[in-house]
Amino acid sequence: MGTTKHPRANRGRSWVGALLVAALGHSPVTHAATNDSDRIAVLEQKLDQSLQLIRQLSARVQDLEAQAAHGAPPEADKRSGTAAAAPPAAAAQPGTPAAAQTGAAAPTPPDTAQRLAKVEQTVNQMAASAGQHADEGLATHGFADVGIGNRNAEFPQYQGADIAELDFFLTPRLGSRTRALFELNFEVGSDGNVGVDLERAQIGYQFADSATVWLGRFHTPYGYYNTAFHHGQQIATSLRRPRFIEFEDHGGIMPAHTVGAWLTGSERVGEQKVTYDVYIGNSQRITGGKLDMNNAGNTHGSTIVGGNLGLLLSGALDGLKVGVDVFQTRIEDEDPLPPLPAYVTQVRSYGAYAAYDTDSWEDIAEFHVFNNRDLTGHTGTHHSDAGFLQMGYRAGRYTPYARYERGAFQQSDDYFAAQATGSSYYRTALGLRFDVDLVSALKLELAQTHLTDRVISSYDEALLQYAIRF
Amino acid sequence: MRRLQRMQRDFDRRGTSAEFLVIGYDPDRDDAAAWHQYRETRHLTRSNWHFLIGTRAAVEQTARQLGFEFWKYDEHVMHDTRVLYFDEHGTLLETSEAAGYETTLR
Repeated sequence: MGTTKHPRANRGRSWVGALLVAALGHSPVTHAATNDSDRIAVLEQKLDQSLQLIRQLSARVQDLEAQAAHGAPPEADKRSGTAAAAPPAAAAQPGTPAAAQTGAAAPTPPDTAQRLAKVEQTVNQMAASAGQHADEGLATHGFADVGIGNRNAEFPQYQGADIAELDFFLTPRLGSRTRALFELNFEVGSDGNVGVDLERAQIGYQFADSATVWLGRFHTPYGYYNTAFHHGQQIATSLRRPRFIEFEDHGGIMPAHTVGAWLTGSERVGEQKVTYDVYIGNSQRITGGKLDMNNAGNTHGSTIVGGNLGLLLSGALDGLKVGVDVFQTRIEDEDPLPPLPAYVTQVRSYGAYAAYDTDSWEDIAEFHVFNNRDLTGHTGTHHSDAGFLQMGYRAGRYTPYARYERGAFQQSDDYFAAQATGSSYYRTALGLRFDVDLVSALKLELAQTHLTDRVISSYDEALLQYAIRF
Repeated sequence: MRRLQRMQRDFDRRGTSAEFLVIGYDPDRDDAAAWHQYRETRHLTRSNWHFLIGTRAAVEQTARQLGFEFWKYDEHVMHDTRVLYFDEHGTLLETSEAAGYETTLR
């Protein structure tokens, strides 16, 4: 049967079931404190021989062999109300192509077929035995975080305690191919008041595993961080995003959101996996000293166009992702008062990144170069750059991390000069994340920020954040 | 996963046979090749360890039936951490909540 051989062959076999996370390159870390030995001892008393099961399995194998001989699809594909069966079983065979998910039966040795049939039957039995049912309605999930510090983590002009955000995440089920994603965020802005923002509103169609097209407002897929981490702080190791890739209304100087169309997917190439993103959307503008993604469209029809190509490595480099990205957009600075004309800048960004995410390590490096051209003809072309390096080590429930980030922004470039937070800077930070439980984390961060042009100054921060998900 | 590995060691010490089923939450990512790589890099190649995938609908249905709660936040999978114990007839014997914490791609 292809299962564990043991001297006490007449002893019954128990099954231990667990569902595991999706991201294989980022496997879970378990820290169980329960005494499994005692439990196993109890279980042993409950287990006995299973001749009946063997008979059932034999019958089941015959059924499957008969189906395979007639080219019939696996039974699980035809059933409703039963658990995952044939596709998982096929997947359990090392090296089986992913196409097994479609139910296309690959030739399998007889002993493997028996083993898979047993697994299939057991999964079904387990599911039927557990027999729990959940509502099919739209589940509401989200995130929230609060903090305290000698400065506000996002708006350093404030100090004391703060509420940061309450973020609702909705993914209604619309069918096997249609996707939808909405993220509604109640957050405190730079004026200290609570505002509401539809951070993401995407409706998409999955043509294949390797291609999904989205329409709506999404996180611009540049670099690594902006699409690996979103508004929910509980999922991020660090207490806050790097300053230059903060969201637009929190001091970020890159267009974190795009309203438009986005084609994304991945394809396995040998042992590696290639990821890609291609997008086009409304070009952003600067208003009130901040980037705005033009949710309703813009008045001149110009666009942001960009792409991102990544490679997930395997083997000795398992957990490492490297990639490059580029985007170009046309940004209008609407802040100058008439009769001054609006400044228009062609922003072109080239990026490169590497992220190493394993059971123990989370290391991220991301770098962007900006070649911006003043389209109003006043100041010419400008070169700026920004980047960060973050290293974290998962030591059980504790994850200490360190980050260095810097942005060198030409202040003669209106794109940066027009943004309230567009000054050059560098920041060093040391932090500690403590996972209180499955759904909440406490983070402490000590940081020092140096502003190196426009206003030359520095400030220290001691920040505490309590972040949850629900 | 480390907990399951500890359980395997306990079973080995006691001379008990057991099958371990691990079902991926995300069929978009947990394809057979990914599981294969996962097993190889973590030395989880014993034949009594079964790493399964299914269609998205099948995985969701199985998770519901087994009482596992999970939801996806883009690439992140939010999930609880439990181990279910079944006897050789597939009858649920016990559900064990993890006393510690477990997380996924953060």
